[in-house]
Amino acid sequence: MPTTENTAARNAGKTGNAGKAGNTANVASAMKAPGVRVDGLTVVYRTPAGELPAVRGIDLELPAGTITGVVGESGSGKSTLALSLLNAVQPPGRISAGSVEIDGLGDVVKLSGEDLRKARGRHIGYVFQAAQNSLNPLKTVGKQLLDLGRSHEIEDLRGLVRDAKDLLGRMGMDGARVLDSHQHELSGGMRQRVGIMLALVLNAHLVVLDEPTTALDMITQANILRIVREVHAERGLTTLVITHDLGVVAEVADRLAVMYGGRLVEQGPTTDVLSAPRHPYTQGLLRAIPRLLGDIGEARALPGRPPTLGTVPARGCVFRERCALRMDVCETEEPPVVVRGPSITACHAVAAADAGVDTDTTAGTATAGADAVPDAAHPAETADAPESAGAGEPAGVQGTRGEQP
Amino acid sequence: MITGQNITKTFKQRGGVLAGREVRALRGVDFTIPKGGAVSFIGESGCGKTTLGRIIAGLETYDSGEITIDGTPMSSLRPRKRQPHFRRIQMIHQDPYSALNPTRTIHQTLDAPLSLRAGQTGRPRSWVDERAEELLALVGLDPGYVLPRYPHQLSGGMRQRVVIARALTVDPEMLVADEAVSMIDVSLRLGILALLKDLRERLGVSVLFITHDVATARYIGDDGELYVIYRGQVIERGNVDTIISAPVHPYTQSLLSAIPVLHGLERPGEQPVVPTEALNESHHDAGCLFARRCPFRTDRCESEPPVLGRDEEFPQEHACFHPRRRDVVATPIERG
Repeated sequence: MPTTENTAARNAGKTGNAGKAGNTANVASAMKAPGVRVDGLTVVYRTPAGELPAVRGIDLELPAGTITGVVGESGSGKSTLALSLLNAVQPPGRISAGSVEIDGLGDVVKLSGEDLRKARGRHIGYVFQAAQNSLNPLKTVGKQLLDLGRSHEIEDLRGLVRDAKDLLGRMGMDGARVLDSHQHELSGGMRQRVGIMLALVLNAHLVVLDEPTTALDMITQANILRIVREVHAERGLTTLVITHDLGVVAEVADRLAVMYGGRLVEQGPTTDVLSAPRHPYTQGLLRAIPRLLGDIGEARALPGRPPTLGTVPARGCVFRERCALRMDVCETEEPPVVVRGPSITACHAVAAADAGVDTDTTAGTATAGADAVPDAAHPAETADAPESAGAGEPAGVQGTRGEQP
Repeated sequence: MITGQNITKTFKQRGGVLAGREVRALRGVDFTIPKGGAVSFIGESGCGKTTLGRIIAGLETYDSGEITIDGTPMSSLRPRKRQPHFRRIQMIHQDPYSALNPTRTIHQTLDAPLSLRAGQTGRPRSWVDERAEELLALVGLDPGYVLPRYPHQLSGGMRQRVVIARALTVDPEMLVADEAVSMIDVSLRLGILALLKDLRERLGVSVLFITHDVATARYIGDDGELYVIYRGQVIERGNVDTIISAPVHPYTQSLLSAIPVLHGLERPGEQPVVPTEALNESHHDAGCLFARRCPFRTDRCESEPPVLGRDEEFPQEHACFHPRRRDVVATPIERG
């Protein structure tokens, strides 16, 4: 509430808030971070083969004040999901079903025009992938900041500049110098910090970071991740981090959601998912990450390759082509949602394993498989297996599979 | 075997705001890449690792020093005579999307260099097609599927395999892989790394692996040598597993400390090293180049340049006045 006042004061052009900027962080943390509920979200893209879903039936809650990480490979739909939070999916894409409820804002999917424009920036901050591409090369950072302020009808632009300097200073930079700089004068890490500043300077309390550390050096990445964590805590934010890098999520996120082929296949507290992954894809992904220590022989690539918009199966499990625990039911039925404590998994094999060994071989195979995936995944060991497996399904490449009723 | 002595390279900015500014990309680097061996260069962007890779592949000139390929110093040859030597060193780039001609099928892409080679060696036309299929099979692709296709019809991993197959058309002695897996999907990276390792073992091709991701360097082979490069200088060098498990240079330790920890699977190292960030690049060149960012610097570091070398205490070479082992790397949590 006090923060809204601060903003309101700026809008009214009052001058009596001189000492206020310094307090912003404290004041802001007093304000409640919004919770977010994504419900049944489906985003389709128009293609010559008809409308194909890039994101399908996503249910995801971002609890207020937490950092959630969404991890997925190329084509998993993670960036589309992120854009949906701003209702910013561009044609030929559109949100075809579902809702995105944000506390204090309502269903973003229903917003349009001026309401939507104002919500972006004020309520939802977005840090773009590769900040160098989102900054104007012809204008100084300061000028762009003023543009941002004017477009949101902020009258106390001095206050805005002061807040921006404070934020930049908080991130270890000389605010005045950065505001006077063009983007080419800043390093990758500095640009990313500018991106974070621009996302937060209007006091948004929901922040979406899309691949915040791609193209940054290791040491810079570690610094940015530390800043994300600290600013998140200090300003009382709800944060969503989208990335292809499990390590990034592991470093910052409280909760982890794994996407594959436009679906959420597993979500739960980060350490739970990493220490005891349940979905075969999560298990395979974790085993495929090159690590610094440990047995090289235990690591192996997942067989096959990630699906594209055209090759995602329209029915059944999206991961079955590459899955060691594949069953007949995976071809036809949507994977059931299995809830165990705070974790959620969408997988037939996991469901069968949880149901116990009461039924026939199906459950038995699944249980055994869940523990013995390294062996089950063995075919991937040879260099030729992974891609030639994918090569065996040229029909999918043409995008015909999605059309079949 | 390919060796380099005291290679230096300085880039001069020609036009623009920074005209006249000099960037010392390499400041006297020595290297040895044994036949069939694996060598990895690691470091942050701008450290000179890519420049060095390009020099070794013959794609970039150097200011001073000497590169020797199989005993022949390159400076003794005229440029035209150097070409056949450098042709045996093939580069694999980061981006398999831009490395292949989008208007040519994979068949056409492989046909051109193979036909040239068939002409030079007097082999029949049929050899070209056979060899193309052989090479694709070697890199783990199905020739029947891949040959008639265009690059855009293949996944990133498949494209990178095609790039490797193309490099193999000239029977290279060495592959220079510059960030060759960083644009490949995580689930497929290991497949490409395993392929490079496999080519070493089966064909005796040596691999020069250039990366910012230290962990991937292990997967080219545990006999590999690691060169840690900082601002154009090698600051630590030795067996890849030795350096990863027991680094002694504070810069190497900073790099390893910065690698994200998979909490739940791993326990972070107990003595992480966090350097001060080079936000404004103060170009001080006296003493140790890392001194300004180093948490352990002393007066000596500011004035005297340390030289890469070996001492009694550690198995690897290092360029530090105060080398010390620190526990920086995350360890896997044992599971019962």
